[in-house]
Amino acid sequence: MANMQFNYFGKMPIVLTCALFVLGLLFTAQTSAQTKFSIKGRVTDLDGKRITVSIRSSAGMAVPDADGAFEIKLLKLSDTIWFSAVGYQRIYRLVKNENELLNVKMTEAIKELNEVVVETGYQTAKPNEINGTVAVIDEKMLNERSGTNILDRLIGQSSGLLLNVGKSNGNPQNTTNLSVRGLGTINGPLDPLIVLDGFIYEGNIANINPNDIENVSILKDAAAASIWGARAGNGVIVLTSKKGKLNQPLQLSVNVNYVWQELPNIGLLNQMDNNDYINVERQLFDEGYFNNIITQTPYAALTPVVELLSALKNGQINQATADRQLGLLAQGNTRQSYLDHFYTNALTQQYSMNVRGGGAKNSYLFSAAYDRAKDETYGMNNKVNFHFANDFKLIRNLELSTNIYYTNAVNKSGRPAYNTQTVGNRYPAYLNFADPSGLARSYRSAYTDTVAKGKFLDWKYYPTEEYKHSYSKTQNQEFFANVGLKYQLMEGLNLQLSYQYQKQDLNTDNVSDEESYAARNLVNTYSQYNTSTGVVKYIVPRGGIMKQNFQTVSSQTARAQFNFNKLIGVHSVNAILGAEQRGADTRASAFSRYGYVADPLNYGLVDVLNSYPQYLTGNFGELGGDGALSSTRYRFVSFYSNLAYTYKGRYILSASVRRDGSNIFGANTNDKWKPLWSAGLGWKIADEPFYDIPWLPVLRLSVNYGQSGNVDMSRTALPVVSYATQAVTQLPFTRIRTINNPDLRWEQLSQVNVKLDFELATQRLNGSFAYYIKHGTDLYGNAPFDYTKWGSRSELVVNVADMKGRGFDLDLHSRNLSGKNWSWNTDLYVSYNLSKTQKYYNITGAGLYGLISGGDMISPVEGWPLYAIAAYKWGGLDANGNPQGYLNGELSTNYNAMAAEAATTGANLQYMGNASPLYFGSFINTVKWKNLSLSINVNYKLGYQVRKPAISYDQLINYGVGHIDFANRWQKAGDELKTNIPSFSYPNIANRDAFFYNAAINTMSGSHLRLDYIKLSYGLSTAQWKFPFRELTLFTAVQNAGILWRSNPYGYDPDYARVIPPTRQFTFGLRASF
Amino acid sequence: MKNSKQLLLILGLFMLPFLGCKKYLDQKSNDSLVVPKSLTDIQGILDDAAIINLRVTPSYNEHSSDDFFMLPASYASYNPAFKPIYTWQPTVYNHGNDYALGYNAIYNTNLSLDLLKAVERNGVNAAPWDNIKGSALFIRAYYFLMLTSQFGLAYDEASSAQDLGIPLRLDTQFDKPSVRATVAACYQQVIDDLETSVGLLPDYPQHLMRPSKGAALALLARCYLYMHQYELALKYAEDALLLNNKLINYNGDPDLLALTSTVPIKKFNKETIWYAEMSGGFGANSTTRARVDTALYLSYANNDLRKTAYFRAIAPYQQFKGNYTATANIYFSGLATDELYITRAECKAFLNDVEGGMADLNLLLKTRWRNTVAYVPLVGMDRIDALNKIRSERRKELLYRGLRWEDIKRYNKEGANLILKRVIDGQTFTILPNSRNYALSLPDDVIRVSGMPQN
Repeated sequence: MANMQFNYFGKMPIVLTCALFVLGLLFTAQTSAQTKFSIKGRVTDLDGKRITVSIRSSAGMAVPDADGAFEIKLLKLSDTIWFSAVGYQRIYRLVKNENELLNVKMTEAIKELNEVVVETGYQTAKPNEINGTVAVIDEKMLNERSGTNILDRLIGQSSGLLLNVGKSNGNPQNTTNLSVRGLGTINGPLDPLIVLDGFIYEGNIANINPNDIENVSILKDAAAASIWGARAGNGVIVLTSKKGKLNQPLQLSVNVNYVWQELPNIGLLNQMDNNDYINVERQLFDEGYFNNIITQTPYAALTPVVELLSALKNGQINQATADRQLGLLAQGNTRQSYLDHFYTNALTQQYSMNVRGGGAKNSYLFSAAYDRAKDETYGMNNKVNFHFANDFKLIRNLELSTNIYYTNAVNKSGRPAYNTQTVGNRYPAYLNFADPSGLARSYRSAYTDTVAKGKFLDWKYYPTEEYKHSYSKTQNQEFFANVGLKYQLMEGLNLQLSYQYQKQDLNTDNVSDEESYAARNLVNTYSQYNTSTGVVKYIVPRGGIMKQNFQTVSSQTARAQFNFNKLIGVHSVNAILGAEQRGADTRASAFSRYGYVADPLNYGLVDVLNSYPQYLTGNFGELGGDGALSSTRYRFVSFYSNLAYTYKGRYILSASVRRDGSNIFGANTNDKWKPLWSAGLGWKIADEPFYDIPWLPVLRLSVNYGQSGNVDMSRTALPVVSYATQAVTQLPFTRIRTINNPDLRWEQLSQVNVKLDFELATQRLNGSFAYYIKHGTDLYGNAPFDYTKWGSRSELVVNVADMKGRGFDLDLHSRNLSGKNWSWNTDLYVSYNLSKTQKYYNITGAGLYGLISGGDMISPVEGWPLYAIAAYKWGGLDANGNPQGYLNGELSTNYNAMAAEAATTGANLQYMGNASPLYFGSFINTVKWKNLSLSINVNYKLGYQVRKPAISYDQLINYGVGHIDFANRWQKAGDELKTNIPSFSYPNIANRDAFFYNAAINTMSGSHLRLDYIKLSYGLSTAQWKFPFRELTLFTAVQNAGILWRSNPYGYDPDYARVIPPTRQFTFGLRASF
Repeated sequence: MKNSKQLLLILGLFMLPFLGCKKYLDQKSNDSLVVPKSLTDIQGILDDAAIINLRVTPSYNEHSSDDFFMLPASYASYNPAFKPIYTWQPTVYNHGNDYALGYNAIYNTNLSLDLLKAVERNGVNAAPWDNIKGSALFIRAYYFLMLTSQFGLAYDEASSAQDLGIPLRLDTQFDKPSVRATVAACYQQVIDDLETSVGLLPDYPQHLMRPSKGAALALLARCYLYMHQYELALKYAEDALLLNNKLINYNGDPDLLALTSTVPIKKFNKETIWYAEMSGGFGANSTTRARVDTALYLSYANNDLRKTAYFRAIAPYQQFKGNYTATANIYFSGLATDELYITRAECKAFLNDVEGGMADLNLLLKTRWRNTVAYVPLVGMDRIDALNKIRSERRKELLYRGLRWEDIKRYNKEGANLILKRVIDGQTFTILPNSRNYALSLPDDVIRVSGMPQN
């Protein structure tokens, strides 16, 4: 603890320098002229009540008296006088005459349209009341992108938020792939915390109807997030749903849109030429690669080319037939076959409506939505949402609010996706899925046609039929409701009690009917054929297979919270104090049925205990009961408090503290608790009496520090075992899950944040700049241990790792043009983040070697970024087409020795760069002309490296996966001057292949600009037209419109270089309100 | 003032539910998890077959044995890092190995023994309590013995008190460093554990994957045989055979399938005393790579049914398929009655009971002989001839069971002077009798972290 703080003070000079710089700017700007004039007046709120206002002129400041009367000195006439108060709109008055009596009424800011409100989930605040850094995304911005998932709509609408494309960390708590301000952990959970209407949302984020969301607040720094405690280390995304308002006439809104997507461009996946492909298979066959398979497992599937070559070799066909058949195969095209038979244009239809309104005592909202989506492989996703919200003023001082949500989502699998259809575990490039003789998926047809004298079920696989007989269907029903009571105890103090219940049922059916290959294959595998009687005995009954999973998650949260909000003279206090109890229970079960028939519904019984011979291999196997039962529960208790104290409306001191307890299994009670805190200081420089920069009327500096944490519930201090039943012995056994590790602690993440908010006069330009340093200590990391003590692992997870991240977020909003019919606004978001490992143990050797296969996953190596790529220095091809690297500084093709050097000194490696964008953000321009509005968003990601797709001869030989570069390979002497693609050789030299794959030439810069969307909308209002609508907006958009610029010369989309790139989506829709 | 009293009251009322939060937080996070305490929990740790029995027992000995060879193409495509083990050179390798698998099982036994100390043995729980203690000791002894025979030199009265064996971890205390015990101490520990377990284990197990008294006696016989203590080996082999002396008759038996099939022998058959499977290890001897030593194959008579049951021709060589695991590519490494018969035969012959030894051998071989052709019993001319015949038949009956390597070491200690040889690309590799390399390399990472001496 002390050590960590010390580190922080080590960083303080940066913060101090920053603050001093601003101070210096101010003091030089300050003038010390004589005052000549003064003016009098009175300032109150709209009801004529006195409020704390700061009044400023060129000469200084004034504070109104108890009745709101004031007098202020002026330097000159005319002069501008500013009136500002927390929660009220700023007012400027031009004074030309000293005798004028100014009567100013301040309007509450909240009542103004588009006023930004920050929702922390525990309280609602105005941005200038808190010191934390929070990005607020309003409804208009949420509507810029279409999509059925609310998180998709956040992309590009804020700084600091990054969608990590192509990263695959094996972490169960990494479902959103979103990161807020980079990383805060190495092996801990990566998802930001999602909060809906003040409660942690544990359900499936796809269940939330995006049209129901009024605004989203992203809590970025520790001061903002620490109120959420132990799970806020990765930032918090607070969703706030729409509500009715008091005294609002009934209002009906309707939203309809269609999103149509282009066909995926599978052709972009650089495959090799069919003739080349067939020649490689021929070469492998001639060299005897397939001999082992043919002799050892004569039943195992071979690719069509190998079948032909084998038949030719055995004299079953002649050369002419073989050549003709090979010629026919060369015309096949697996990719085209995928497109023809399995792919379509994805189409999403979204319909939603809401009714809202309110009277003097209550307000209500009812919304409903229906989404119907067909994905690119005909998978269906249908979703229905209902939301019902009511607020009542029950009696004086008592308010009641209720919310009920219901979601029913049904997903059904479609057709096979790219790269799922294999022949004997290979991926031939020349398949035709509609071939009536089927595909030899696992077994050769020569075998399956004659097996058991044809008494077995058809053992062939028909790709274009299989999906009709085998599918999975998931139904997800979610219900949750919350109720809140707010009682005004005295002026400025209220007590809020709230409770939420949530229940989610997830049912999955995996059905393979009796005609499916999956079912036929299983039945045949265990069938026994009596050669003398010709009778087939079925161990697995004929019919289909149905596997079902049921999961129910229910959670309950109860909260009691005091809110205190009081203005005493020049002191303003805003505080909350609360306690919360939250529990989530998950129960799951699964079972399988064999011999399943849907109509008439029936199923058979199987022996899951005894082992039976498998027909082709002769090995014995048990079917095994794959039913499962589980029951888990999490319990949290939290106490929290947040205090903001404002002095003279200029100095804001804030602090929060929270203590979380949870039922971590196997922990000692004391370790179940974790205290977290934050503190911040805000200074509204522009409100100082000495401040005199008229063109910069808003300038505010805040500095804060906070701690949040991460807890991984699976890591414990006592040995923990889980029960299961051994399949063979049928005895219950206990598997050791974790061994006693009494030294484990919670991960600790602290963050320092310095933020400057500014706004130019006439609000032409406003924005904020925030600089932060994140420091993760006691992070979970692996440390080697003597596994003589426990052989299960060579490394144990302990709190050994440290990381540090730093970065900035810049938000700029500019009104470039604003005329009667015209307006042009620009929003610019710039984020920079670099997270480095500070302390970690790597058994594979220190340094760059640990990054050699990096890029897709967090690869912690001390002193290097968490996502980074290193590569072998490239020395070109030698005269025989072998790739060359360096060994002891000399060109070499000794791949084993080079690998050894890389692992030890690492001298033959070079650091290629960060593998996650250093700079990213978006640039949004919105132009309006009368009723027409056009917005264009350009996203950018800069300063990172990605792996370039490259040919792997290992993949080609062992899996039949080719690459277009094959055609450019070294083939004859002299080619080394023209190409960097090594010669093809068999047998493959694994380390040569690995060297080439990991060489510097196979990485590329990922920097690019992407046209994220162009949206055109046309709005009509009753003011102009006689319509039944109050408002009608028609809109159309192109999403993911294309890459504008990329720095790699190969034409790859760097985020999707090795997968099918997403295609353009076209949206058409209308929004109307009545 | 009134307000603040009201406030305190309300505050107090709403904090009430949270007072129960200790209980709330003590709820179990997963119903299938337990902190093991009860006898059922502890027995469960020993019933975790995937840790104790299935594809986990030491296999590097078999990788180094002379019962198989790799085809040149298989050797060429074999992982270069593991190639040295095939030619008896020191091998550098890290976690994910025999040593780790062995000590993983040993941890389970030690954890069971540690936890058992907290459970009082009484009249009611005596049987399960004894079974746990006996099982843990047996399993620990099995792994200690197999790991010692693999990572230590063969037992030698003269040098074993100095030769380094393996670390004998006898509890789960993490702060104790690992220290290599001498080979003699390792064998002594095995004997102590087994002798205690004999008095605790039931005669027959509930399931063949659980230890039994028969298994402990059979393992004692193996252990004493390795120590050249033939009287004791004979005694324990006889004791074990009193509990189970059944043999499969290869001419027809419920435990057999067609001898020609890929899997001719059933799992958990009547010969099996304790069931265990060898780990895949470095895969040098996996069915796809390994071919049976040609001389060994030719030593089977044509009417020896094992020639059909054990081998499958993949021209021009033979693949082994005579496992007791009912899976072609998983080798059996447990204890079985056939081993006991041969051990008894060898002991008798060694102790000069030539006739008794040959009788035992013929008893076994007759069950392997085609019954339509008269079986001509093998005859031992003298003690040496009998021993040679028995040892040759020991190899033929028990190949691919993880026994041959230790047998070679043991015979060489008695002066057999067996020199193993492999020829690869014209280069000849040999391992001389009693070479230091008979103690296989320990994992590199364990040596680095623990500071123990490497072999």
